[in-house]
Amino acid sequence: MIADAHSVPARSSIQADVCIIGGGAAGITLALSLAGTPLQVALLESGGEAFDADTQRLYDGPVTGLPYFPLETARLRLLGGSTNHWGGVCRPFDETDFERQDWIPGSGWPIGLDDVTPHYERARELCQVKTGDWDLETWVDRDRYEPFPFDPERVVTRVAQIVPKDRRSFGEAYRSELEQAANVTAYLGANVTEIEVDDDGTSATRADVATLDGNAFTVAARTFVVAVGGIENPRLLLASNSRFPEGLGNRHDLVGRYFLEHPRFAAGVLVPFDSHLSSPFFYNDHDVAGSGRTESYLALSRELQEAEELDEVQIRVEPVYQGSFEHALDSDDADAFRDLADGLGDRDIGEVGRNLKAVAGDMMTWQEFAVPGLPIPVPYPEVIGKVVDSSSAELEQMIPDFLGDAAAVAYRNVIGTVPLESVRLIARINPVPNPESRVTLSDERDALGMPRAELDWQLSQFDMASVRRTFEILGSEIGQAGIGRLRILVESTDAPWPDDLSGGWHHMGTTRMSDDPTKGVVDRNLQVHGMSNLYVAGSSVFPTSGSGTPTMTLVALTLRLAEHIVKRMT
Amino acid sequence: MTSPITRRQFLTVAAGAGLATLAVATSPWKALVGTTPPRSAAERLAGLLKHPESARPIGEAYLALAPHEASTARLVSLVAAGAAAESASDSELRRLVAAGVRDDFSAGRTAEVDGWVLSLTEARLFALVALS
Repeated sequence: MIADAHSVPARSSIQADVCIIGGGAAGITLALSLAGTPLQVALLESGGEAFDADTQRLYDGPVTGLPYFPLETARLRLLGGSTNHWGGVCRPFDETDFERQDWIPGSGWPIGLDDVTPHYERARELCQVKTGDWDLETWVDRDRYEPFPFDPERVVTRVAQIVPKDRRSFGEAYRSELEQAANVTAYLGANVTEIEVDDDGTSATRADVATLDGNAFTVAARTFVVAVGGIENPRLLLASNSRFPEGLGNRHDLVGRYFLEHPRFAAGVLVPFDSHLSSPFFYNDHDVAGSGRTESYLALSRELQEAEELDEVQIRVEPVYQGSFEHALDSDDADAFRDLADGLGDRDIGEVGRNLKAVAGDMMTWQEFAVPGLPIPVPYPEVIGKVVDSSSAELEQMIPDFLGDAAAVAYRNVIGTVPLESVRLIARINPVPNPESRVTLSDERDALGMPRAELDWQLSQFDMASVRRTFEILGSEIGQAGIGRLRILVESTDAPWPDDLSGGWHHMGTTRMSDDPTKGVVDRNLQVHGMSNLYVAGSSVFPTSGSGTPTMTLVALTLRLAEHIVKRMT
Repeated sequence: MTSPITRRQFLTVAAGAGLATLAVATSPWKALVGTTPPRSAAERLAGLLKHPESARPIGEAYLALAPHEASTARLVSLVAAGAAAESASDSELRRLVAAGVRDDFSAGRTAEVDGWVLSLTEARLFALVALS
């Protein structure tokens, strides 16, 4: 059942067995998993079924440390959560992701791949990923995909699958299932401002709920699960401090620390000897014969990464064209689009938004004159329409899809005829967990009186050194393979972080998992240390960021949590 | 003081003068020309490059990093790797350099010149041009 929190009687108390706070990928997964059990489930989602600016502003908060996206646009606050602007890129973690790496402090999960694997297939289904086959060779055979000819003992190619855009939103995909679940009630517009605890602080007793129009009520439950994202999870635990000033699960000052992202920036340029270098690597986001879209990237082999004692650094390749295509980009009509692409690392939403709007009407023209005579795809009028009518916050959320669809499709159709100028190599780092990278409570308060989150994103110089060494090795491999030559854009191991540093909207680590209460906020079952009935779901429990993208793994972990809760409570 | 190597300069060397063929053993040096019989091994090695004007700044940048190699004789011995360079034919020199480049990358014997990851052999070949 889906209910409106505004209609709940004021100051009433709802009784449930399980209270799930957050209706994103984790919260919805948990609710669906508990549907049909004897447990009464209350799911509390702050947003509604559509974007609402006032609700979204509850996410606002200061950013210190390294530059980062504005917090009010780095996630989404409506049913389905951030899956509503998800890029849809999926790949499961591998065995090494869970293991301790002696040269990386804070690495190692208390669980292993074997604990998660039983849930990956269902997670894949829930995420609507096309197949469970992640083997490179399969995609080579199926998609006529051509990886670069590197020695696989040194540089490997990995394939991720991309969920079709119209299937990414958990809110849209599972709304009807939530509505039909007799033992689940999803309350929309329900903002949890504090989790109340008993006298000794070891049991959660109720969630205080407020709506933006002034309604307030509570939800009492036997079990509580916090699933509001990697920034809001610590915010809510820290803000639940009316009885214990340090908040919940924070006896060892760990809640909010170890904030992880997948930082990325252009770290190298490959100049190919063949200007028509293996194009399938670049535009393998196509869907050949319905086998699904993919995205590939390079990385050092695990053996070499271990021998060199490095962070894992993944490398995305992005072609830069010359000739007629560059000419098109040089034209007046395309200037705004190029500025848009250049400005992706810029956090100035207004400028990005203005560029998007300026270029939207010219997209068709640009694509037509890019390479005359070629079959240019439809310029996505529905996308353009959205762009023109959207707010700046919505525009920023659309950028990955907008570029992915419009630009990549155009590239795909002209590739093979347009010579390459160079290939931009984007480093994506799995950084060292850093306790100084953290979410804290700001002095500012939101419209409901709750302290805002403040993000201080930090990286380690070891991360930069890992990028540089990885690119040195890659430069040798490129030379040996006879592909071209690589220019490293990272000048030294102690170089400052570049201006184009950004993240992937992946918020992890802030309630990290450890069996040791002095090293983690939750245990292997995602139960908050020192709390008998409080759990955390989502990528905030990741101790390290992993080689895959977070969504499918956080869904798998949530399925595992559901199993644990059912076993414990029924 | 050396000036930064532009992408255009590097591309000119790479595309026009044979970095590709330096690295690819299956098509060694067929794009390179040496029309005038050089008198010395150094001149003949430098003559393997079609666009010396683009190779020169790369070589200069390399020599700024390795000033102790700023000697024609030393560079010839390093590029030719102890072979009898003076008596080698042009085609033998081409094969020698191609193999050197390939082996350099395989063994990680690279030089980073203005950010470019080059084999030591090719960097020294460019340096020979810079000294010529």
